[in-house]
Amino acid sequence: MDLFFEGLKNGLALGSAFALMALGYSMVYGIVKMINFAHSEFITIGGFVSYYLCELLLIDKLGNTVGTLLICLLVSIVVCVVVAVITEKFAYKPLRKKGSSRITALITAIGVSYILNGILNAITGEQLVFPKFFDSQTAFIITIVVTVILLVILTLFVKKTKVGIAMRAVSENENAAKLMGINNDFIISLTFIIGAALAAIGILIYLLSNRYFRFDVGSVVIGLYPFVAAVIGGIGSLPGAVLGGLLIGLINQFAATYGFGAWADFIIYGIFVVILLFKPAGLLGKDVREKV
Amino acid sequence: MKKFFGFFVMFLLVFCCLGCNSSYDNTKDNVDTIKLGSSGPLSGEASIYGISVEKGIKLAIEEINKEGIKIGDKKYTFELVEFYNDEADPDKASSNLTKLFDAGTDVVVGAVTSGATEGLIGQAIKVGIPVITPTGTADKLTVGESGQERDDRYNVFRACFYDSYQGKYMAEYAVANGVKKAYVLYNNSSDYSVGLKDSFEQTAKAKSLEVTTAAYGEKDKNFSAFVAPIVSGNYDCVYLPDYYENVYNILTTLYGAGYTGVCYGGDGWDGVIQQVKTGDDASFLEKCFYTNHYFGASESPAVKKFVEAYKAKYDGETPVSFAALAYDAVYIVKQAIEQAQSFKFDDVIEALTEGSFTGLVTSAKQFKFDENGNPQKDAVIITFKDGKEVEAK
Repeated sequence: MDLFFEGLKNGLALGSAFALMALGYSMVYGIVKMINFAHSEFITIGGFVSYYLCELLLIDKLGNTVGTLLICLLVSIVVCVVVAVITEKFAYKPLRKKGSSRITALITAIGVSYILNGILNAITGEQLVFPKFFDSQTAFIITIVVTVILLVILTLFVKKTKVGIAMRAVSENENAAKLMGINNDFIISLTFIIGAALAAIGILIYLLSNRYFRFDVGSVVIGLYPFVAAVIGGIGSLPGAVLGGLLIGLINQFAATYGFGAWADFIIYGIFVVILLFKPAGLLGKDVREKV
Repeated sequence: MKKFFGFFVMFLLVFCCLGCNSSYDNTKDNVDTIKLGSSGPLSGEASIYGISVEKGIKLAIEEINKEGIKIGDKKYTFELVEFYNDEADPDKASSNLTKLFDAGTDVVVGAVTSGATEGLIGQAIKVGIPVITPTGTADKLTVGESGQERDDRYNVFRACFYDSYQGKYMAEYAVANGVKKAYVLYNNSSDYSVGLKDSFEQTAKAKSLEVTTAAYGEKDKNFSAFVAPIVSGNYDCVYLPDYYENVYNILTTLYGAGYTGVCYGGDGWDGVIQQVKTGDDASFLEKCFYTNHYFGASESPAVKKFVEAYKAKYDGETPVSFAALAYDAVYIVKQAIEQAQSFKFDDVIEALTEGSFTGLVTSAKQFKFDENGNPQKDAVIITFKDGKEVEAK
């Protein structure tokens, strides 16, 4: 029974971090119908910013306190958002204006991802150790609370506010939304900003319990998990992304707890394929046929 | 058509060159130097190993040349033809061997990493040049992938012990220290880790030790779930065959979760002590033991002399085991040549196969090579005390 709770706890913590990252993938896909592969690099950038802030400036002055963590959070959000906006402005927007096909955008996203990854690798290829802020129990509680709060805020934002409604409109029909006077470019930029901010929060939460990381934390270690989480839950659906994230986190950690750690990927991707076969739109996704 | 002609000319040139190589006449009569050559990574991720090996080789050559090597009445000195950079890449190592052979090298002391050494050997067995790798630990290097190809690789030796030897050694150590129930947590994306795990498991089971194994992958960096079954399963020993970064991560997680037994590991642990940051409570390390090639702070006179000479030559730098093994490899070559009273390829190979070697940094006692070209020397077991590495008794 002890083992079970251990697995549950670790799984929920890891799953929450995946969920926050998955929200970024899901929202961007919902709006621009493009998988933003550079998202995984936004995640790593968030981690690097937090790490270097702690190591170089804050730990000496403020110690391992909540204050340090909050400063890290704010700064890493700002940096991630700036990088995301720059990426969007210089790589994706020109393509959209030219009316390039989706596959071009996808390849560009992969290219951007490699460029950012190359820069991070050049900064340092060594294993970094994030400072310890909380014991595993506290880290777990913080993770869960933050995820729930963010999900509620995000859902309210999308459902109730004017900008949120505009977002959904753009996602449903870009041209009609434009005719209704919605500034599409603004909405798209905003989506990238929210996604990047969630990436920064997600990685910080991840680092609370996974302190060892490298430049490949976003692209390899976390890798496709958030994206798969978004697809399992139904891409474009916010609760779906969270559900997918938790599912993957739980499978991953239960497998390790019961001695099948090496099989975790097999199980996760197996379930992924089965879900796609029977529910192509994902668990909570709306099954919308695209009109030809 | 022009292009085709170009290719044709290129082929002709290549064949001409090959022709030159095979007709190369190794005239050794009027030289008074014996040529050593090596290959190793001097740039890239594994460069720290290559650089250490190069330093070890150069130090040994410098020392040996003071006395000279006596063959009959004549004195010879070692000359390092070149330490070629192979970037730990098998293909580059292979072409480096060709370059060394063409330069008239007598003995190759290399390569450094197992993968590159395998590449180098592929070429070396064609020309029959004696090869002694200071640090290539993969089992297959001297016996081939199948373990049956020693006859083809008769010219290949190593100065270090091989991977599966360490697992066996540690399993025997565990049994001798009263371990009843062992858990092996290994990295299934690393040949090194799998090799050590296999031999540990095999030996442990043969000695009726209860063993459970579990694997993690390349991507796993959070081990809290992996250690849960260890803590709740009342194991008294955990074997962790991996490199120091993962090992230190696992150790902190494991002891943090309340484990109280001992942990064992292999030479990949060399570097764990540097992972401890000021302020970290790493007292659990006193329950950890690992096998290594040599112990730098040992009281043995050979080690002391080596460490002092190394520090004096390289601005106070402390030699790692890679440098020690390289240094020893050159001394092994020297002893083999003296015993053979010749430095022709086959004579040196015979001396390495038959002779026994002594006075080395990485082995206190005299040793011979076994029938597979592996040195029959003991591993050193290292543990930690008051934040320092010490030799375990």
